[in-house]
Amino acid sequence: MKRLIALSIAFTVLAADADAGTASCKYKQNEADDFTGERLVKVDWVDMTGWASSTFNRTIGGRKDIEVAAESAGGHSLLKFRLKVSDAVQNPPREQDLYSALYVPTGSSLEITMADESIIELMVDEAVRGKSRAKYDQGSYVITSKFTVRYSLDAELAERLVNEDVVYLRLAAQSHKYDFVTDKGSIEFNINKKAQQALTKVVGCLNQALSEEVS
Amino acid sequence: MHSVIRWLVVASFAASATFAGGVATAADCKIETDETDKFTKVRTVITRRNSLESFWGDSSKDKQKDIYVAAWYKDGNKALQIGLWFTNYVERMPPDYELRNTLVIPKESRLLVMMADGSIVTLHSVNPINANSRATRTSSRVSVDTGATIYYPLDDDLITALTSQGATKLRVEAAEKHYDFEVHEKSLTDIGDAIQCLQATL
Repeated sequence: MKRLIALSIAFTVLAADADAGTASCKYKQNEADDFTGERLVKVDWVDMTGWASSTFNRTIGGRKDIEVAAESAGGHSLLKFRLKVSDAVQNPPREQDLYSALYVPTGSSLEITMADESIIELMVDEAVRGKSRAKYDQGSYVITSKFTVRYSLDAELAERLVNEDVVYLRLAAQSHKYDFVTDKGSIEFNINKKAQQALTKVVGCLNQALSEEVS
Repeated sequence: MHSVIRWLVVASFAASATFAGGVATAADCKIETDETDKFTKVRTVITRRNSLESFWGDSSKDKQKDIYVAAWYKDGNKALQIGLWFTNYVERMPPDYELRNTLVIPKESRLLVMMADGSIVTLHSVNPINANSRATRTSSRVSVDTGATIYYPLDDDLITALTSQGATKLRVEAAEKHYDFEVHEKSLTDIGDAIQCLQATL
Protein backbone atom coordinates (compact mmCIF):
# COMPACT_ATOMS: atom_id res chain seq x y z
CA MET A 1 0.00 0.00 0.00
CA LYS A 2 2.83 2.36 0.96
CA ARG A 3 4.52 1.58 -2.36
CA LEU A 4 1.32 2.39 -4.20
CA ILE A 5 1.05 5.75 -2.45
CA ALA A 6 4.72 6.53 -3.12
CA LEU A 7 4.28 5.60 -6.78
CA SER A 8 1.17 7.77 -7.00
CA ILE A 9 3.04 10.73 -5.50
CA ALA A 10 5.92 10.19 -7.91
CA PHE A 11 3.55 10.22 -10.89
CA THR A 12 1.88 13.38 -9.57
CA VAL A 13 5.24 15.13 -9.29
CA LEU A 14 6.21 13.95 -12.77
CA ALA A 15 2.93 15.21 -14.17
CA ALA A 16 3.45 18.57 -12.51
CA ASP A 17 6.93 18.81 -13.96
CA ALA A 18 5.64 17.92 -17.41
CA ASP A 19 2.98 20.61 -17.12
CA ALA A 20 5.64 23.15 -16.24
CA GLY A 21 7.65 22.10 -19.28
CA THR A 22 7.18 23.06 -22.84
CA ALA A 23 4.94 20.16 -23.89
CA SER A 24 1.80 22.20 -23.28
CA CYS A 25 2.95 25.52 -24.68
CA LYS A 26 0.15 27.84 -25.71
CA TYR A 27 0.84 30.70 -28.06
CA LYS A 28 -1.26 33.74 -28.83
CA GLN A 29 0.97 34.34 -31.84
CA ASN A 30 3.74 32.36 -33.52
CA GLU A 31 4.30 33.56 -37.06
CA ALA A 32 6.26 35.86 -39.33
CA ASP A 33 5.11 39.46 -39.54
CA ASP A 34 3.24 40.06 -42.81
CA PHE A 35 4.98 43.33 -43.53
CA THR A 36 8.48 43.00 -42.10
CA GLY A 37 8.98 39.24 -42.16
CA GLU A 38 10.18 39.47 -38.53
CA ARG A 39 9.49 36.52 -36.28
CA LEU A 40 6.64 37.21 -33.82
CA VAL A 41 6.06 34.95 -30.83
CA LYS A 42 3.64 35.59 -27.99
CA VAL A 43 3.44 32.94 -25.30
CA ASP A 44 0.04 32.92 -23.63
CA TRP A 45 -0.44 34.14 -20.07
CA VAL A 46 0.07 31.71 -17.19
CA ASP A 47 -1.63 32.57 -13.92
CA MET A 48 0.68 32.77 -10.92
CA THR A 49 -1.98 34.04 -8.52
CA GLY A 50 -2.03 32.04 -5.33
CA TRP A 51 1.33 30.55 -6.17
CA ALA A 52 3.36 33.62 -5.37
CA SER A 53 2.77 35.30 -2.02
CA SER A 54 3.19 39.05 -1.98
CA THR A 55 4.22 41.49 0.67
CA PHE A 56 1.24 43.77 0.20
CA ASN A 57 -0.30 45.42 3.16
CA ARG A 58 -3.20 43.12 3.83
CA THR A 59 -5.90 45.63 4.57
CA ILE A 60 -9.54 44.83 4.00
CA GLY A 61 -10.14 44.57 0.27
CA GLY A 62 -6.44 44.24 -0.47
CA ARG A 63 -5.51 41.53 -2.97
CA LYS A 64 -3.22 40.86 -5.89
CA ASP A 65 -3.32 38.89 -9.09
CA ILE A 66 -0.22 38.12 -11.11
CA GLU A 67 0.21 36.45 -14.48
CA VAL A 68 3.35 35.90 -16.49
CA ALA A 69 3.98 35.63 -20.24
CA ALA A 70 6.80 36.16 -22.72
CA GLU A 71 7.07 37.47 -26.24
CA SER A 72 9.59 38.17 -28.94
CA ALA A 73 9.50 40.45 -31.97
CA GLY A 74 12.36 40.79 -34.40
CA GLY A 75 14.80 39.15 -32.00
CA HIS A 76 13.86 41.38 -29.02
CA SER A 77 12.49 39.21 -26.23
CA LEU A 78 10.39 40.39 -23.29
CA LEU A 79 9.25 38.87 -20.03
CA LYS A 80 5.82 40.27 -19.15
CA PHE A 81 3.87 40.44 -15.93
CA ARG A 82 0.20 41.38 -15.75
CA LEU A 83 -0.73 42.57 -12.30
CA LYS A 84 -3.91 43.63 -10.60
CA VAL A 85 -3.48 45.17 -7.19
CA SER A 86 -6.02 46.68 -4.86
CA ASP A 87 -6.26 48.60 -1.64
CA ALA A 88 -9.16 49.82 0.49
CA VAL A 89 -9.33 53.38 1.81
CA GLN A 90 -11.88 55.44 3.69
CA ASN A 91 -11.86 58.60 1.58
CA PRO A 92 -12.98 58.87 -2.04
CA PRO A 93 -10.01 59.26 -4.40
CA ARG A 94 -9.42 62.39 -6.46
CA GLU A 95 -8.53 62.00 -10.12
CA GLN A 96 -4.92 62.86 -9.29
CA ASP A 97 -4.88 60.02 -6.74
CA LEU A 98 -5.92 57.56 -9.43
CA TYR A 99 -3.43 59.02 -11.90
CA SER A 100 -0.53 58.48 -9.51
CA ALA A 101 -1.85 55.28 -7.97
CA LEU A 102 0.62 53.03 -9.78
CA TYR A 103 3.50 53.93 -12.05
CA VAL A 104 6.53 52.04 -13.32
CA PRO A 105 8.94 54.64 -14.75
CA THR A 106 11.49 54.19 -17.49
CA GLY A 107 14.69 52.72 -16.08
CA SER A 108 12.87 50.62 -13.48
CA SER A 109 14.16 47.16 -12.86
CA LEU A 110 12.91 43.72 -12.02
CA GLU A 111 15.23 42.00 -9.59
CA ILE A 112 14.99 38.24 -9.57
CA THR A 113 16.62 36.48 -6.66
CA MET A 114 17.76 33.01 -7.63
CA ALA A 115 17.98 29.99 -5.34
CA ASP A 116 21.74 30.45 -5.04
CA GLU A 117 21.02 34.00 -3.75
CA SER A 118 22.42 35.65 -6.84
CA ILE A 119 20.27 38.41 -8.29
CA ILE A 120 19.59 38.96 -11.95
CA GLU A 121 18.21 42.26 -13.10
CA LEU A 122 15.93 42.96 -16.04
CA MET A 123 15.15 46.50 -17.17
CA VAL A 124 11.66 47.71 -18.01
CA ASP A 125 11.07 48.06 -21.74
CA GLU A 126 8.84 51.14 -21.42
CA ALA A 127 7.17 53.13 -18.66
CA VAL A 128 3.75 51.92 -17.56
CA ARG A 129 0.94 53.65 -15.73
CA GLY A 130 -1.67 51.47 -14.06
CA LYS A 131 -5.31 51.75 -15.06
CA SER A 132 -6.81 52.63 -11.72
CA ARG A 133 -10.44 52.62 -10.67
CA ALA A 134 -12.33 53.20 -7.44
CA LYS A 135 -15.41 51.35 -6.29
CA TYR A 136 -17.42 52.02 -3.15
CA ASP A 137 -17.97 48.81 -1.26
CA GLN A 138 -19.33 48.34 2.26
CA GLY A 139 -18.15 51.61 3.73
CA SER A 140 -14.81 51.92 1.99
CA TYR A 141 -13.40 52.69 -1.41
CA VAL A 142 -11.60 49.83 -3.09
CA ILE A 143 -8.88 51.17 -5.37
CA THR A 144 -7.83 48.73 -8.06
CA SER A 145 -4.94 49.22 -10.45
CA LYS A 146 -4.21 46.97 -13.42
CA PHE A 147 -1.08 47.08 -15.53
CA THR A 148 1.16 45.02 -17.77
CA VAL A 149 4.88 45.58 -17.41
CA ARG A 150 7.47 44.27 -19.88
CA TYR A 151 11.14 43.62 -19.19
CA SER A 152 13.85 43.07 -21.79
CA LEU A 153 15.10 39.51 -21.71
CA ASP A 154 18.33 38.40 -23.33
CA ALA A 155 19.19 34.80 -24.25
CA GLU A 156 21.59 34.30 -21.35
CA LEU A 157 19.08 35.39 -18.70
CA ALA A 158 16.34 33.40 -20.40
CA GLU A 159 18.54 30.31 -20.11
CA ARG A 160 19.07 30.93 -16.39
CA LEU A 161 15.33 31.34 -15.80
CA VAL A 162 14.69 28.02 -17.48
CA ASN A 163 17.42 26.08 -15.70
CA GLU A 164 17.67 27.67 -12.24
CA ASP A 165 15.20 28.16 -9.43
CA VAL A 166 13.78 31.59 -8.62
CA VAL A 167 12.82 32.44 -5.06
CA TYR A 168 11.93 36.13 -5.09
CA LEU A 169 10.70 38.88 -7.42
CA ARG A 170 11.06 42.59 -6.80
CA LEU A 171 9.39 44.91 -9.30
CA ALA A 172 10.33 48.55 -8.86
CA ALA A 173 7.24 50.77 -8.92
CA GLN A 174 5.79 53.96 -7.52
CA SER A 175 2.53 54.63 -5.76
CA HIS A 176 1.64 58.07 -4.51
CA LYS A 177 -0.99 57.22 -1.95
CA TYR A 178 -1.84 53.56 -1.80
CA ASP A 179 -0.25 50.49 -0.30
CA PHE A 180 0.43 48.90 -3.65
CA VAL A 181 4.18 49.18 -3.16
CA THR A 182 6.53 48.76 -0.23
CA ASP A 183 8.39 51.62 1.44
CA LYS A 184 11.35 50.63 -0.74
CA GLY A 185 9.31 51.40 -3.85
CA SER A 186 8.70 47.89 -5.07
CA ILE A 187 6.13 45.17 -5.43
CA GLU A 188 7.60 41.96 -4.10
CA PHE A 189 6.72 38.32 -4.34
CA ASN A 190 8.00 35.18 -2.72
CA ILE A 191 8.08 32.53 -5.42
CA ASN A 192 7.16 28.98 -4.58
CA LYS A 193 7.68 25.90 -6.73
CA LYS A 194 4.47 26.34 -8.70
CA ALA A 195 5.22 29.97 -9.51
CA GLN A 196 8.73 28.93 -10.49
CA GLN A 197 7.23 26.42 -12.90
CA ALA A 198 5.04 29.13 -14.43
CA LEU A 199 8.10 31.30 -15.06
CA THR A 200 10.08 28.37 -16.42
CA LYS A 201 7.22 27.42 -18.67
CA VAL A 202 6.69 30.75 -20.40
CA VAL A 203 10.40 31.35 -20.95
CA GLY A 204 10.92 27.74 -22.07
CA CYS A 205 7.99 28.04 -24.48
CA LEU A 206 9.45 31.24 -25.91
CA ASN A 207 12.84 29.58 -26.39
CA GLN A 208 11.22 26.57 -28.00
CA ALA A 209 9.27 28.67 -30.49
CA LEU A 210 12.31 30.74 -31.37
CA SER A 211 14.35 27.60 -32.02
CA GLU A 212 11.80 26.32 -34.54
CA GLU A 213 11.38 27.40 -38.12
CA VAL A 214 8.12 29.08 -38.97
CA SER A 215 6.43 28.48 -42.29
CA MET B 1 -22.62 58.31 -33.17
CA HIS B 2 -23.32 54.65 -33.85
CA SER B 3 -25.98 55.51 -36.38
CA VAL B 4 -23.37 57.55 -38.25
CA ILE B 5 -21.03 54.60 -38.25
CA ARG B 6 -23.80 52.33 -39.48
CA TRP B 7 -24.57 54.78 -42.24
CA LEU B 8 -20.92 54.88 -43.24
CA VAL B 9 -20.81 51.12 -43.20
CA VAL B 10 -23.88 50.81 -45.38
CA ALA B 11 -22.54 53.43 -47.73
CA SER B 12 -19.22 51.69 -47.97
CA PHE B 13 -20.89 48.37 -48.69
CA ALA B 14 -22.86 49.90 -51.53
CA ALA B 15 -19.82 51.69 -52.84
CA SER B 16 -17.70 48.56 -52.68
CA ALA B 17 -20.21 46.60 -54.69
CA THR B 18 -20.40 49.37 -57.30
CA PHE B 19 -16.67 49.63 -57.74
CA ALA B 20 -15.84 45.96 -57.58
CA GLY B 21 -15.54 45.78 -61.32
CA GLY B 22 -13.28 48.82 -61.63
CA VAL B 23 -13.97 52.48 -62.30
CA ALA B 24 -14.64 53.59 -65.84
CA THR B 25 -15.78 57.20 -65.69
CA ALA B 26 -16.48 59.97 -63.22
CA ALA B 27 -20.16 59.25 -63.61
CA ASP B 28 -19.66 55.88 -61.88
CA CYS B 29 -18.04 57.49 -58.87
CA LYS B 30 -19.53 58.55 -55.57
CA ILE B 31 -18.08 61.88 -54.58
CA GLU B 32 -18.54 63.15 -51.05
CA THR B 33 -17.30 66.67 -51.70
CA ASP B 34 -16.60 68.62 -54.89
CA GLU B 35 -16.65 72.31 -54.20
CA THR B 36 -14.71 75.43 -55.06
CA ASP B 37 -14.22 78.07 -52.41
CA LYS B 38 -15.96 81.28 -53.47
CA PHE B 39 -13.17 83.50 -52.19
CA THR B 40 -9.98 81.57 -52.84
CA LYS B 41 -11.23 79.60 -55.87
CA VAL B 42 -9.52 76.55 -54.40
CA ARG B 43 -11.24 73.33 -55.40
CA THR B 44 -11.64 70.46 -52.94
CA VAL B 45 -12.65 66.95 -54.00
CA ILE B 46 -13.14 64.03 -51.64
CA THR B 47 -14.44 60.67 -52.76
CA ARG B 48 -16.96 58.79 -50.68
CA ARG B 49 -15.46 56.99 -47.72
CA ASN B 50 -15.34 53.22 -47.96
CA SER B 51 -14.93 50.95 -44.98
CA LEU B 52 -12.19 48.44 -45.69
CA GLU B 53 -12.52 46.02 -42.84
CA SER B 54 -15.65 45.47 -40.81
CA PHE B 55 -19.11 45.88 -42.24
CA TRP B 56 -21.49 45.50 -39.34
CA GLY B 57 -19.03 44.82 -36.58
CA ASP B 58 -19.76 42.61 -33.63
CA SER B 59 -21.30 44.55 -30.77
CA SER B 60 -20.70 41.62 -28.41
CA LYS B 61 -16.95 42.21 -28.57
CA ASP B 62 -15.27 44.49 -26.05
CA LYS B 63 -13.11 46.04 -28.74
CA GLN B 64 -14.05 47.09 -32.24
CA LYS B 65 -12.12 48.88 -34.92
CA ASP B 66 -12.81 50.18 -38.36
CA ILE B 67 -10.82 51.80 -41.12
CA TYR B 68 -12.15 53.75 -44.07
CA VAL B 69 -10.48 55.19 -47.09
CA ALA B 70 -11.12 58.05 -49.47
CA ALA B 71 -9.09 59.97 -52.03
CA TRP B 72 -8.62 63.68 -51.41
CA TYR B 73 -7.64 66.63 -53.59
CA LYS B 74 -7.09 70.29 -52.71
CA ASP B 75 -5.14 73.06 -54.41
CA GLY B 76 -3.14 70.72 -56.61
CA ASN B 77 -2.34 68.23 -53.85
CA LYS B 78 -3.63 64.66 -53.76
CA ALA B 79 -3.71 62.39 -50.75
CA LEU B 80 -5.10 59.13 -49.52
CA GLN B 81 -7.39 59.87 -46.59
CA ILE B 82 -7.42 57.13 -43.98
CA GLY B 83 -9.94 57.23 -41.18
CA LEU B 84 -9.46 55.13 -38.05
CA TRP B 85 -12.17 54.38 -35.56
CA PHE B 86 -11.79 52.40 -32.35
CA THR B 87 -14.45 51.56 -29.79
CA ASN B 88 -13.73 49.91 -26.47
CA TYR B 89 -16.49 48.85 -24.12
CA VAL B 90 -15.64 49.00 -20.44
CA GLU B 91 -17.56 48.61 -17.21
CA ARG B 92 -16.72 51.91 -15.55
CA MET B 93 -16.20 55.46 -16.76
CA PRO B 94 -12.44 56.04 -17.25
CA PRO B 95 -10.85 59.07 -15.58
CA ASP B 96 -10.27 62.04 -17.90
CA TYR B 97 -6.51 61.59 -18.06
CA GLU B 98 -6.96 58.16 -19.61
CA LEU B 99 -8.97 59.73 -22.44
CA ARG B 100 -6.28 62.20 -23.46
CA ASN B 101 -3.76 61.57 -26.27
CA THR B 102 -4.97 58.05 -26.79
CA LEU B 103 -4.10 58.00 -30.49
CA VAL B 104 -0.82 59.67 -31.41
CA ILE B 105 0.48 59.46 -34.97
CA PRO B 106 3.43 61.77 -35.66
CA LYS B 107 3.86 63.49 -39.02
CA GLU B 108 5.76 61.31 -41.52
CA SER B 109 4.41 58.12 -39.97
CA ARG B 110 4.11 55.29 -42.43
CA LEU B 111 1.10 53.62 -43.97
CA LEU B 112 2.07 50.23 -45.36
CA VAL B 113 -0.25 48.78 -47.97
CA MET B 114 0.20 45.16 -48.93
CA MET B 115 -0.87 44.63 -52.52
CA ALA B 116 -2.38 41.46 -53.97
CA ASP B 117 0.99 40.26 -55.27
CA GLY B 118 2.59 40.63 -51.82
CA SER B 119 4.49 43.80 -52.64
CA ILE B 120 4.29 46.66 -50.13
CA VAL B 121 3.55 50.27 -50.99
CA THR B 122 4.71 52.79 -48.37
CA LEU B 123 3.11 56.20 -47.82
CA HIS B 124 4.02 58.89 -45.25
CA SER B 125 1.51 60.98 -43.34
CA VAL B 126 1.45 64.76 -43.65
CA ASN B 127 -0.64 65.71 -40.59
CA PRO B 128 0.26 64.88 -36.99
CA ILE B 129 -2.52 63.22 -34.98
CA ASN B 130 -3.00 63.68 -31.27
CA ALA B 131 -6.51 62.44 -30.63
CA ASN B 132 -8.47 62.18 -27.42
CA SER B 133 -11.11 59.56 -26.70
CA ARG B 134 -14.70 60.18 -25.76
CA ALA B 135 -16.51 58.08 -23.19
CA THR B 136 -20.28 57.65 -23.38
CA ARG B 137 -22.33 55.78 -20.83
CA THR B 138 -24.87 53.42 -22.33
CA SER B 139 -27.48 51.41 -20.48
CA SER B 140 -25.13 48.57 -19.57
CA ARG B 141 -21.58 49.78 -20.10
CA VAL B 142 -19.35 52.63 -21.16
CA SER B 143 -18.36 53.11 -24.78
CA VAL B 144 -14.93 54.69 -25.31
CA ASP B 145 -14.57 55.97 -28.87
CA THR B 146 -11.42 57.21 -30.57
CA GLY B 147 -11.16 58.42 -34.13
CA ALA B 148 -8.79 60.25 -36.42
CA THR B 149 -8.32 61.08 -40.09
CA ILE B 150 -4.83 60.83 -41.51
CA TYR B 151 -3.66 62.21 -44.85
CA TYR B 152 -0.99 60.43 -46.87
CA PRO B 153 0.15 62.47 -49.92
CA LEU B 154 0.03 60.74 -53.30
CA ASP B 155 2.46 61.21 -56.16
CA ASP B 156 2.34 59.66 -59.61
CA ASP B 157 4.39 56.61 -58.61
CA LEU B 158 2.17 55.88 -55.61
CA ILE B 159 -0.95 56.34 -57.69
CA THR B 160 0.33 53.86 -60.27
CA ALA B 161 1.26 51.35 -57.56
CA LEU B 162 -2.04 51.63 -55.70
CA THR B 163 -4.28 51.47 -58.76
CA SER B 164 -2.54 48.63 -60.58
CA GLN B 165 -3.93 45.89 -58.31
CA GLY B 166 -6.00 45.28 -55.18
CA ALA B 167 -4.80 45.80 -51.61
CA THR B 168 -5.11 43.00 -49.04
CA LYS B 169 -3.71 44.38 -45.78
CA LEU B 170 -2.88 47.73 -44.22
CA ARG B 171 -0.62 48.76 -41.38
CA VAL B 172 -1.04 52.22 -39.89
CA GLU B 173 2.05 53.09 -37.88
CA ALA B 174 1.53 55.25 -34.79
CA ALA B 175 3.85 56.68 -32.14
CA GLU B 176 4.39 53.56 -30.08
CA LYS B 177 2.52 50.85 -31.90
CA HIS B 178 0.90 49.98 -35.17
CA TYR B 179 -2.58 48.98 -36.22
CA ASP B 180 -3.09 46.16 -38.70
CA PHE B 181 -6.17 45.76 -40.84
CA GLU B 182 -7.24 42.94 -43.09
CA VAL B 183 -9.06 44.31 -46.11
CA HIS B 184 -12.46 42.70 -46.59
CA GLU B 185 -12.66 40.67 -49.78
CA LYS B 186 -15.34 43.01 -51.13
CA SER B 187 -13.07 46.00 -50.56
CA LEU B 188 -9.87 44.78 -52.20
CA THR B 189 -10.04 47.38 -54.96
CA ASP B 190 -11.46 50.23 -52.86
CA ILE B 191 -8.19 52.14 -52.50
CA GLY B 192 -7.45 51.98 -56.21
CA ASP B 193 -11.05 52.78 -57.07
CA ALA B 194 -11.07 55.85 -54.81
CA ILE B 195 -7.93 57.18 -56.47
CA GLN B 196 -9.26 56.47 -59.94
CA CYS B 197 -12.49 58.23 -59.05
CA LEU B 198 -10.56 61.26 -57.89
CA GLN B 199 -8.55 61.26 -61.11
CA ALA B 200 -11.66 60.92 -63.22
CA THR B 201 -13.45 63.70 -61.35
CA LEU B 202 -10.53 66.10 -61.73
